[in-house]
Amino acid sequence: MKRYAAMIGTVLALNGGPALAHHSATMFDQTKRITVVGTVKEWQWTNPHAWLQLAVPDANGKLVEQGFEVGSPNTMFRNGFRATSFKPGDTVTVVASPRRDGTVGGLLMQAKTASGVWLQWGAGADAAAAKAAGVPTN
Amino acid sequence: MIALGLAPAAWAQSAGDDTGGVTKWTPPSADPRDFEGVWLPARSAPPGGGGSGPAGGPPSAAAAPAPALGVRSGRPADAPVEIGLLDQAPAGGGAPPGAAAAAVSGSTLQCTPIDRVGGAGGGMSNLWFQDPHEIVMISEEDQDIARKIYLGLATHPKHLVPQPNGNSIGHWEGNTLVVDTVGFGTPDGKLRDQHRIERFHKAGNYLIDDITTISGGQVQHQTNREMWRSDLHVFENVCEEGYDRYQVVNGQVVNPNTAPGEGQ
Amino acid sequence: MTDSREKKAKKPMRKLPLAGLAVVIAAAGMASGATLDIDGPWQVTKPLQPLRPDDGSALPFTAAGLAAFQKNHAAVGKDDVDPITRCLPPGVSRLFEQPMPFSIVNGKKLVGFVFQWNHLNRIVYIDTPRFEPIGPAYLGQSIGTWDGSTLVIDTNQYNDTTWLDDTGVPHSDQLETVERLSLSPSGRQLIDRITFTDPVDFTHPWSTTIRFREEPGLIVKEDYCLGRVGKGTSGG
Repeated sequence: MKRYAAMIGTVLALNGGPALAHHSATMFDQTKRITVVGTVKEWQWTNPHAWLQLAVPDANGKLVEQGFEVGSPNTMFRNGFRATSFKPGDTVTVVASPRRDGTVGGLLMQAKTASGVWLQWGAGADAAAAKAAGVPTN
Repeated sequence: MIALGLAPAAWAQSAGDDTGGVTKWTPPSADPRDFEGVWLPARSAPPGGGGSGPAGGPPSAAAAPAPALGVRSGRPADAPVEIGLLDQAPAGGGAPPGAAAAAVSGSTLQCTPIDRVGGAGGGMSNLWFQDPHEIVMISEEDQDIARKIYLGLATHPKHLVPQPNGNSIGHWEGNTLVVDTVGFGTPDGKLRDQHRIERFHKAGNYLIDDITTISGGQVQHQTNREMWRSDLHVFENVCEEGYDRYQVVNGQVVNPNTAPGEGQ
Repeated sequence: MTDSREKKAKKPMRKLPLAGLAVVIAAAGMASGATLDIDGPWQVTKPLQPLRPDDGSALPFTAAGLAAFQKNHAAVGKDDVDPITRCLPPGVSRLFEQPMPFSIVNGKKLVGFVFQWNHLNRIVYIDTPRFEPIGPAYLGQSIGTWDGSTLVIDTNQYNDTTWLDDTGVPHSDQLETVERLSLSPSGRQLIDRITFTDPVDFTHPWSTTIRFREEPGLIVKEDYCLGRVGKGTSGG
């Protein structure tokens, strides 16, 4: 039975709406984007959200752990993500919606793996697979 | 934590398709009263037409120099056009009805369902199945919580315990399933002033849900659509794997197993 | 891998139990149990704690299985070690033995078990080839077929997180279960004979039988384990 990894050095803002039990999109500013390049510490393929933990140097060059929230494995799998997409030590580029409270981390929108493949999630991200399955477009 | 290893060699692998490319899309049943199968909430455009542009993008050129570590504003030049997440707000805008009442309770129990009218995004599917006693809808987004619609009951049972999805009874009017739901509760068991009537019918590749919600004297209408997706399978979604990420007290993350007052 | 008794007992059911609904006797080639009224709700009559083979023998642990059992057993109910204290799904037999009802929806191409316990469900795909799941699952992937009016459920792709009962009987991710689910002659009991095959934790397959009583008038409620055990509430 694996013990759940504790977050180190990151403060999470509380989800604002009680009706949104796990989709805490309100704590991210989706009108903005940041690009974060860091080294993978851990890729947590778990429910309700997968998390990509990166080690990123701050302005003084000190490494800080930053957590990027993604969707659940079910959605992620259909959008091409895998439990093996990111491995500890990989250098990855994350495009994220930053937190409204200004703390590090964010909502992962797109990510470039160590092998240079871009992954993203959202409506239409499974378009290629849906087309292969013969799903009609209306 | 789900331990994911390599798929057995006998199964094909296919990026972005949970069925490994094995299950093809076939049309829905011609029986207008047969809802059995997987339907994908259609909050945005159908496959191939989502968001702000073409999906995905080619891998970056192998010769590109390694990017500098750190944080910058904006997006990198080689990132593909964003698809865009499904929005979380109802199509008509504003908070889902009942949300205000839920807020009154003060506490927020995690891993409970969101209001279907306001949610059902994120690309997760619903699985419907039925027999003469009940029709069940499992919402993958709602941690596979089952909505149960009891058939053959003229009225709601007395002494209903409030629960997040309430108590639903249904009957057919022609080929429309009419569902009446009361007994909505907040996650900690207080009764919400909410009554919902839904009219479900199949139309082409879609399951249409015309929703009327009466809450606090206000009446709200909404139409949700789900697209038939027999190429998908609903999978388990165990929110409890990670609930302690959302334990925040006074702005600090607190592990519930070591917080003061929590038992060993 | 089933034991020799399973292989012998394949005879057609001539007498079908009636449970308040007329049962359609199938034409040749069509499963006669496909329209059985097995909705319930059902609840375990007498939980088998600890889980025991039907023949009264001891659980046939391998050395690894015994070590895992002893480790689990020492941690029964221990917060964050016993998976049930974190509200993670119990193993299939442990889930059946919780004192909460479940209903069974007998659909066309699938049979759905709808549990009250933490709103879990279990989907049995009828006469469907195996497909690639996203990964191993707490309740595995179930494929079913009707053998007369007995539902035979074959499940594999379990993850190794769950316990098979409240005392900590373990299993590995190699577990495969085959269940034979049928109604009693009165139609008011559901009988599930489960055969466990797990070469990592058990030296040979073994079977146990769990019985459920129909509880008409019960509604399968929504249960949220985190709330019930007093966890998972954000401050404020």
